Parts: sequence; structure tokens; C-alpha cells
Amino acid sequence: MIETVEAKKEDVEVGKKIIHSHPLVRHCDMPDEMKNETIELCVTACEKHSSNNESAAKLIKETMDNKFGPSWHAVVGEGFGLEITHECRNLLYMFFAGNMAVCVWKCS
Amino acid sequence: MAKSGKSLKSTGSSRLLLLKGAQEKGENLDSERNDNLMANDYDAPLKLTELELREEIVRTLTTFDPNAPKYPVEFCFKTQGFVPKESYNHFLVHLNVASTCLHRDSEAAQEQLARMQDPGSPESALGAKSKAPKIGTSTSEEKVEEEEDVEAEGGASAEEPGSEKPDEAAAEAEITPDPVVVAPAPTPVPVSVLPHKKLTNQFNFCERGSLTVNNPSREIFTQTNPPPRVTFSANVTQWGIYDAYMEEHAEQQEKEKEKKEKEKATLAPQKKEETKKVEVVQVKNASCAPEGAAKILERMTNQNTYDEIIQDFKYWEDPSDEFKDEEGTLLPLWKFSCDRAQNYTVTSICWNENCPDMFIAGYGSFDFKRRKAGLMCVYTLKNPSYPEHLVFVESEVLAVDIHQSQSSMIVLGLLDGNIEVYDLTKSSEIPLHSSNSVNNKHTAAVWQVRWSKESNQSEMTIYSISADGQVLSWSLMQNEMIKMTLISLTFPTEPINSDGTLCPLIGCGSALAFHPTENNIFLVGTEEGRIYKCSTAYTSIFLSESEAHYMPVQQVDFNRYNPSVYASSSGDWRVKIWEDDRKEPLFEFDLGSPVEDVAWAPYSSTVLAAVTADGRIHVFDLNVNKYRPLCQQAVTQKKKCKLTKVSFNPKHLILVVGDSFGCISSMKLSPNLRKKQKPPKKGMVVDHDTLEKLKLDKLLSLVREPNKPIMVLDTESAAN
Repeated sequence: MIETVEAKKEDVEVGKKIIHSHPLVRHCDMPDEMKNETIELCVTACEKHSSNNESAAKLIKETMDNKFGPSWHAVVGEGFGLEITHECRNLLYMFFAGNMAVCVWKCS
Repeated sequence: MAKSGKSLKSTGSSRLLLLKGAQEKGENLDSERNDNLMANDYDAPLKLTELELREEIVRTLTTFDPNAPKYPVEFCFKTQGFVPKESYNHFLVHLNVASTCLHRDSEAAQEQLARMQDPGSPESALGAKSKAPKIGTSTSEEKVEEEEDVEAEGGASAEEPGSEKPDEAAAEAEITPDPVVVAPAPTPVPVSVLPHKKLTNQFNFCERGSLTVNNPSREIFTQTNPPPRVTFSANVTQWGIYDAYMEEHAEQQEKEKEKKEKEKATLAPQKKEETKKVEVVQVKNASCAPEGAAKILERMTNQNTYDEIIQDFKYWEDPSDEFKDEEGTLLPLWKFSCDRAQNYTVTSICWNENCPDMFIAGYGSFDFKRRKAGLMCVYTLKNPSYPEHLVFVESEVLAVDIHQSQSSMIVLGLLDGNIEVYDLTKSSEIPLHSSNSVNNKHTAAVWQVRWSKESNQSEMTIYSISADGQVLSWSLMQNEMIKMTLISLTFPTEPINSDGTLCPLIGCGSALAFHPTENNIFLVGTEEGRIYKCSTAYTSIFLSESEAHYMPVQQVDFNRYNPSVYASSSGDWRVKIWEDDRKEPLFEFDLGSPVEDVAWAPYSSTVLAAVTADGRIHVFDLNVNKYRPLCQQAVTQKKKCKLTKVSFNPKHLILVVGDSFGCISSMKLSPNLRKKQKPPKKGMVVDHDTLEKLKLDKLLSLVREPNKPIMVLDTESAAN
């Protein structure tokens, strides 16, 4: 067991050289156009407010409200748990920059 | 209101209550006794003796107000002392409702009755009119009476009935609610006079009212479904994010691997071919590339099925040629046929110059009595079993041509005079352009179509020749084809005066060939056996014309190396080779049967092939033998089968012939038929073209010398 774990670690170390910074969508039920727009928005927001997750979330929420109607919610963070109820076809859950998770959903 | 007092007898049980009530009303009871009773009330229940119980206490209701002060006084400032106030009003009005009812015995009621019972009679109407003011007065009188009555009653002395005047009594009777009490008053108008009508109510009153129907109000309500909701839960952890990224990375790598494998897989068959060294012509043009794996598979299967033929196509050289000295043979290779084209005649064949393995064939019929739909097939040597494309058209196809640079562009000339252009990359069903209209077409069968080779022109141009004696050029515009008459094939003879009008005779064009280098020069053959040389620059003048044949000219073809030399074939069994500005032909061959087609070989300046209606193909090499064909070979098996078309492959050493049964055979030319010209001096490097030109010039100089026509050679007899 230990050996395999070690082997894995080695593999991981080999892989570590690659820094993943691209957005990775984990779960999304939005229409394609909306999805792309939201991903782009999340990326720009996170890059703009790289040191302040709260303002990033605020930016995402406000922009989404403007674009797709009110009652959007956004969570930006490195570690959290969530259990939400959202309107169908209005959820995006993605990772970004290797250590950030962004969840955007709509529920009015 | 004005009732006389009534005595009330109270039984013992109710006495106390009555007493209390009396107390409240201020009954004039003995105050002392009252005090006692009140005192006893607190101690014990009142006990009365038998006597006391039996005692009758008479009480009287009066109209006096018990609370009224008995002796009211008033301060009089005049006398500076109290003066007794005389009157006190005991009358109180609790309710005063003016009634709308009339007593039926009253005068007003009687009048009303009379009016109601006979509304139509003029008397009653008159009476009503005359009495109308009376009603007003009577009512006012009544009001006055009532007021008086009220005053009278209000007064303390209003109790004595005796003092009442008869008027007052009547007034009283009017307002008493109980009419039974009232004595029957004398009726001023006898009721019996009026028609008796039973009154349900003695108060004869009428009410006229109506109520409109209110619009019924309804309540309607709906409830929409709330937008569907879903719960979602996730836990974000750094290791979770990391794993997700790693997973995705691994997936991407796998995909890349798969892609590489696929690429390898697609490359593999090509490598196979290379290892087998089976020569299959590489696809140069994208328009010829097979679409989809199915086509690749089909081709591979065919390649395996016809493996021997492919080997022959590439490698077989007839060893007997070495011993035959001059004669050559044709090795039959693939046969192209299609179920759909079985009853058709191959009317035209055209090779694709960009993909030398592809050619198109037009199918129609020379039996013009029976018209049917036409067909065009695109064949490839790689798949001889089934055509690559099938194009169905309304009329029989007589001519086809492929555009030089855009080999997907195909033009068809039809029997009904129409010209259709297809782009096979787009659709093989709907023509890209079509001349299908009344004015914009040939009036007779289109015998030959050619794409213009001019590359500098922005739009593509087609030239067509038809039996209506017109050579037209068609410019392909955005949505339409614009036609322009290049030349009308008129006869040099005088116009015929048939019925008073002068009709110039028009030749029926049957063959068209363009100069290989000069794009504006072309040859036209007619059904009358004449050959015209024309230019697109002059629409009315022929550069030259000659009466070449006695029968319709089937085909004319320029020599590729020396365009001043051209060959023609005709139904008069002859193939003739001409040179510009020379009235007589350089060569003339009699093939013993109508010559359907003639073609110069692309690889040699002196080789030409002709097909005849008896099903034979004749291949000449003028450099080797000026009098006889090197090869005469029967191609078809059936007796009645005619050969209709022949065409050399532009690159490979094969030719295809089409017959009247819809079958196209490809044949390989044996080494004797394609002898290469050796350079005149050893070690001299001369390119192929100039060599061929030299060869032809040498030959021509030989022929020209006598400057007289060579005798008609009967190849049939020579062969025998």
C-alpha cells in the first residue's frame, strides 16, 4: 500500500510541474451561451480581485444580476461546503487557477 | 299612543319583579312601604301573609311623564321671584315615519282606484285631470290634520274621547293601524259602481319598480407552476480541486493518444499500398477525395477484387510486341458499367485532368424516336464496380465536359437543347446552373460542350454547339447563364427562295474542338460534312472552311503538339487528317464502317485512335505506318454493339472506349503503340514536347513533298 502511495506521489510530482490555471467546469446545467459568458465572467472577476474573494463574488453576483435577471448568488473560495437549491439551468460550479472554486447559481 | 289605561293583575310570584319595575318607572307607591321592602330585601326574602298576598294592587298607566317635575317653577326677572311654569310637554315622539299608503276609503284612494280600473276611458282621464289638483289639496289638508292631531294628542287634555270633534275622529281613524277598530266610514264614491275587484290587500297601493339583471361576476384565478428547482451540494477542498485538475489532465492526454492512434490508422493503409507497390494514383484534388470511411473500404475491397487488373495496369507489357515488329495490341482492363445505364449509349467521355484516375461519362441514346431521361456517371479507376457520382437529368446527355481547374464543375449538353452545370462538391441532384427556359437554350440537340480555358476571365464560360447551327458561349453569372451567339453556321450558297422569302441555309453543328494553345480558335464540324475554323473574336466570318466529308462530321480533334494539324472522323467511314491552309487532307483512312470518334494521343504527336460502328478500335501511329493502323481490335462481344466514344487518359497509357450498350472499357496500349521517339543525336537532351514536334514536322514534310493528295487507302483490303 505504502509503495503504491509513494508511486502515486511520484506520479503526482511529475504532474505537478504542469500548473493548471485554466477554468475547469465541474458541474453546469446552463445553456451553452450563458455558460461561456459566465465562465468568462468568473475568470475575469477572480483575476481582477485575486486577493479579495468577497469583492470577486460581489462582482460576479452583480454582473449576473444585470445580465440574466435578479437573484443570483455567488460563492468564491478555496474551501467551503454548500448545499443549495437553485433554479434549473442556472447553476455553474467550477474550479479556477488550481485552488479556487466558484459556484454561481440563481434562486429567487 | 293614545290608549286608555289598563289594569294589570300581578300574581304573587311576579310581584317582586313588578314592584321593582314600578320602582324604576317611578310608580307612585307608598314611599314608607317601599323603604320597608327595600330594608327587608337585604335581610331575608320577603314574607307576606295570606292577606297581603291576596291584596289586589291596582296600577294605572297614565300618559303623564312620571319623571316630570310636578311643580315646575321659573325664575322671573321681572318680579324677582319664582313663577310656576304652567305647561310641561308630556308628549314625546319616538318614531315618525311618513307612510306612502293611502286608506282605501279615503278620497284620494278612491280616485286612484277609479283611474286604475278604467284607464282607457276619456272620462276617467278627464276626471283624473280635474281631480288632480284636488289630490294635492287633500293631501295637504291631511297633513294639516295630522299636525293638528299631533298637537292635540300632545296636549294633556287630549284624553277625553267625548270632546273629540267628528273630524278629529276621522283623522284618528285614518292613522290608526288597526282598521277593524275604525267604524265603517261613509264612502263618498260607491264601491259597487266600480267593477268589483278583489283586493288582496286593503291598502290599495301600487309599486312600480324594476331591477335590471346584474352582470354576474365570476372569479377566475390561475396559478403558474413555480420554476423548477434542484438542489445541489458540493464540498470544496484544495485536494478536491487538485484531483479534479489531475483527472482532467489525464483525460486530455488519453484523448491526444487516441488522436495519434487514429492518425496512424488512417496513414496505415497508405503505407500498405506503398509496401505492396500497387500504384494507385494519388488524389491531387480535394474534390476527388473519397468522403467517409465507407468509400475507403469500398475502394479497398475493389482493389483486392481487381488486384490482377491493377497489376496489369501498372506492369504488364505485352512480350509479343518485340516479335511483332510494328503491330501492337490493346489489353482490356476494367469494364465500367452501371445498372442504371444499361439501356443507354455512352455519348460522351471526358477525363478529369487534375485527377487522371477519374472520368465522367454521359449516357443518352442515338435512337431519337424513343426519348428517355439522361444520366451522367463519374467513374474512378480505383472503384470500377460502381460510379462515384450519378447525376440524373431530364433529357438524354449528349455531351459532357469537366472544367480544367475546378474539376468538380461539370457541364452537360442535353438532347432537348438545354445546358446544365453541376458542382459535384455541392450537389449531384440540383444543377448549379441550368438553361432550362424557353428562350435561353438551344433549339436542337447540343452535340458538344466545352469549358473555356481562359483563366483570366472572372466568370466561367461554356461553349456549346448544337444541331440548330449555333455556336453559343454561356457566361455563368451569379444566378443565371447569359448566352451569346458566337457564330451561326451559314452556308456559302445563296439563300433559298422557297415561298417568297429568302432563307439562308444553316448547317447543323455536330462537332466542336478548341485550339490547345490559342483559346479563341476553334473547329466546327457539321452534319453536312463541312469543317469550319472560326474565332471567337469574329462572329460572322469563318477563318477557313472546307467540305471535308460526305457524311456528318462526328468529331474533330486538334493535334496537341502541332495545332495546325487536326483530325476529323465522319460517317462516310473515313478519318482525315488536315493541315491549316491546305484544301486536301494530309492523310485519309477508310475504316470500313462509320467512324464514330477520333482522338489524338496525349503522349505522342503521331498516335491517334478511332472507333467505328462495327465495334472495333483502330490505333494509328503515323510515324511507324502511314497507311495502316498498328492495331485493329474488336472490343465488343455482341454483334450489334457500336463503339461510340474513345478517349485517352491524359497521364496513364490507357484509353477508354464507350459502346452503345452503356459499357465503358478501359484498355492498355501495348509498347508498340507508344514508342518513344529517340533523340536525333545521342547524348542530346531534348524534352519530350520538342521531340514530338520534330517527329511530326518530319512526317509532315514527307507528306507535303508530293503536294498532292495521298490515295485513299483501303485499310480493310490492306489488312486482308
